Amino acid sequence: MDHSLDIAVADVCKTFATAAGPVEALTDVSFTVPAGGFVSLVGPSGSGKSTLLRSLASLETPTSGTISLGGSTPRQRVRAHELGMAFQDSALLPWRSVQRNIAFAREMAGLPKDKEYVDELIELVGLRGFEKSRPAQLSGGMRQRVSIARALVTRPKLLLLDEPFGALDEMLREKLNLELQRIWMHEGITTVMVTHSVAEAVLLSDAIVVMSARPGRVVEIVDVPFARPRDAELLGSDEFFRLCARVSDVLRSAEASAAPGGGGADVGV
Amino acid sequence: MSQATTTGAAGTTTTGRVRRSRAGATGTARSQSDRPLRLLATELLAGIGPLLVLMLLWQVVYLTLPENQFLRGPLEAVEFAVSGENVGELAAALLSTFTMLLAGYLIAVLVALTLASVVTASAAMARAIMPLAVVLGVVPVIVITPVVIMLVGRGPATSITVCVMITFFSCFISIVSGMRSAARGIDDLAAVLGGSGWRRLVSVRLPSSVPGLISASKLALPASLSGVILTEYIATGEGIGTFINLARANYRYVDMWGGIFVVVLLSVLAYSLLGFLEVWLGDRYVVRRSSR
Amino acid sequence: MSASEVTAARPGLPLAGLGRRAGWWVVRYGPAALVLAAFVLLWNWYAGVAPGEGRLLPTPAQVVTALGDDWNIIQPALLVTLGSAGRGLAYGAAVAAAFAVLAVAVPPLRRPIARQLTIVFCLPLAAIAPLLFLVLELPGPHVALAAISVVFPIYISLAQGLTARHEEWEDLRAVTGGGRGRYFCSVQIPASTRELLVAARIALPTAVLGTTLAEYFGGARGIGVLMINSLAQLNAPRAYALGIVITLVCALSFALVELVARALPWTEELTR
Repeated sequence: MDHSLDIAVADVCKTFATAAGPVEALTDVSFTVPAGGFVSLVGPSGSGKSTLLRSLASLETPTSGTISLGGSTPRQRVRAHELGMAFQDSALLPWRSVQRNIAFAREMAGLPKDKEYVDELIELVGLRGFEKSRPAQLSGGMRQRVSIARALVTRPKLLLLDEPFGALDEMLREKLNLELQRIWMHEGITTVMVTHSVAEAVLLSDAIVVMSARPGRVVEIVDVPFARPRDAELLGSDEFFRLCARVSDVLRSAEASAAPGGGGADVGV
Repeated sequence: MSQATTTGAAGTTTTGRVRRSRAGATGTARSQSDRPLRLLATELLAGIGPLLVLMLLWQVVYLTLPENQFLRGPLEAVEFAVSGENVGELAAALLSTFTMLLAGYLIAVLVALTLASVVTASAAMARAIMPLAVVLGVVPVIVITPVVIMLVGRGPATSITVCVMITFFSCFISIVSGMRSAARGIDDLAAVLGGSGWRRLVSVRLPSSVPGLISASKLALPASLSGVILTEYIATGEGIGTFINLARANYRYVDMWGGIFVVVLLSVLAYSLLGFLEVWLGDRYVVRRSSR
Repeated sequence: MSASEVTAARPGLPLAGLGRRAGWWVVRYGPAALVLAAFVLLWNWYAGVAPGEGRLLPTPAQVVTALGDDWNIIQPALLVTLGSAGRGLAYGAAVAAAFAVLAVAVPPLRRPIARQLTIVFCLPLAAIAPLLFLVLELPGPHVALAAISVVFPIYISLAQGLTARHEEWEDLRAVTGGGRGRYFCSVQIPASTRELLVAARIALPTAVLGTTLAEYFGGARGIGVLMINSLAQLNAPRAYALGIVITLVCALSFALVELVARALPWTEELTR
């Protein structure tokens, strides 16, 4: 889609200074995502997938290497208010209603109010009737829906999701995955998602970037060939299961080859 | 009456409240904040009730103890506070004390908010300022008073400064942790959206600091009031602290008991009022972690 | 979609490990050290130019000198204060423990007791101090004020620890048919060690401060009496030295409780 950004990550390294000396979080990470694509980053903890996502958001600056978002740097895109982001902790303001939490993103970006679009998004994420509710009155899943609507309300050209459904139970996660797919197909925004769940990654992505820990680097990029829209039926199919198993294998071998004392295997299928 | 007490009690009461509200249905929390007047009445009663019990005990002690030249009963104290011959003097003394207290609180809160905004906006400033704030915050209240008397002298500014010093540190620490804890994700989001520092301060950090600020003000109240009274007694020669001590020195024991009664009553009322604000605003402003 | 795969392994950036580490320390602790140094320098400078020739604000060096020179006066006063504070702490803890036992035995009384003791916490201690001097013989007021100031924090911690529900353990007790008294002694009390330590950490300095406050209002000996006298004599170096002594006593009591907590590993979460 023409209003989305393509991503080109080239030779990105990131080193953090800590009390115990410098730690390499990312080493020579390179990949590309075409405009309108959906890519997931999976890997054990310590593989730098969150650091990578935060670098795309300009919340971190790579020590070396380049990140191009449609030909510009992340910082330039941030200044133009062209990015949207959602987190595992829905990070809603407890004193604001659903409506005003979504509108918050436009306020922050300094964009004019757009009540109709806020209402449209509330409809899109299935929260009609809860416009005036406060976060404390919502369930965890509903809060994540608000969080995603908020990420979309600035009409971003790139959507960054940091384990958006990581705190939800399996059933709810599956339901929201399918809804996210519907929203993504409707909006056509380039999306990068960090996740712990291989199934979630396989269900949603065009390609999965598998990373290993210590140092964080790209082990393999797995293409996901399934046609869209993908549905619950696919989730039960053999081909789906085989691809999940393959991604898990790559993850496991990445962990085996990683430096000793590497992170725990907190990746679920 | 140290900051140690303050923070410690803050911890215990807060966890107590959180536990309770988690145990109960969200519905009760909602109805509380929806009916502020009722909540206010509950909080005030919770303050006044135990005070009445205390007065009852006082009456019992007064009646059972043998005749004592110093001891006066609660009824005499109340009668004095309502219509004693020196009641004008008492009112002036109380007005003076509570003006100092209020002025001190306002200054402390303003300074704490400003400094906390700076500290939360810049990691380097936080690393520079926080350790000094913590070191100075360890200095006990009763050390602050003599030091301020030496530095500032013996005027009204002394009382206000003491109150500022006592209130500031606990408020500052609470505001900073409120601003930081409330919404790390929100702050990242604001950065990704290209929000200016000013917008982030006004829309996110300042509202996030409200509950901590109210709790800290409440818990610092007895210490601050005590500090002001102590300053009046040692240095300024004004206010309720001096009133009580002059009454004692001049053998006007009814005045003394009356003065103590009224200042305790006002302290309890102010504490209950802040307790009301704590619960009422807490329902609105406290961030709850997303449930699993 | 096309996804290019680039996994060239390159050795880590050339790092001068030690230099980087030193850099981290400078970035992390440099600003604080600078500000603290600036604070001391500012104090030193202002003490030189402030009116009153050091009667109002002594230099840090003068304070340290006073601390050394007057130690033979300060030390006995400190012992007197600590003695009164210790007795007050014992009385206060006894009262708090009695209320806590009552709260454990009669659950409906928990809220009223907490409310009642909150009022005790609300009392402006400086307002009731003169009263204690009328009613009690010296050093009674010094002990009483320490006791009054520790009752509330000790009670809150004790009650919280002793009435906390440990549902899995209670189920285990029910399943294995253990007695309630035995459960209380071998589970509930040990499980509240953490709260006990919290109580100690708050109560130790609070008791000292309560006693010192009472000493401001009158008394023959004690650190607070010494402070009031130093103020009256405009002996600022000694007053500041006393302030440092009081602060250090409080800090030491904190450290002491922290050491005990370290020795009891299951109370690790105490470090709040």
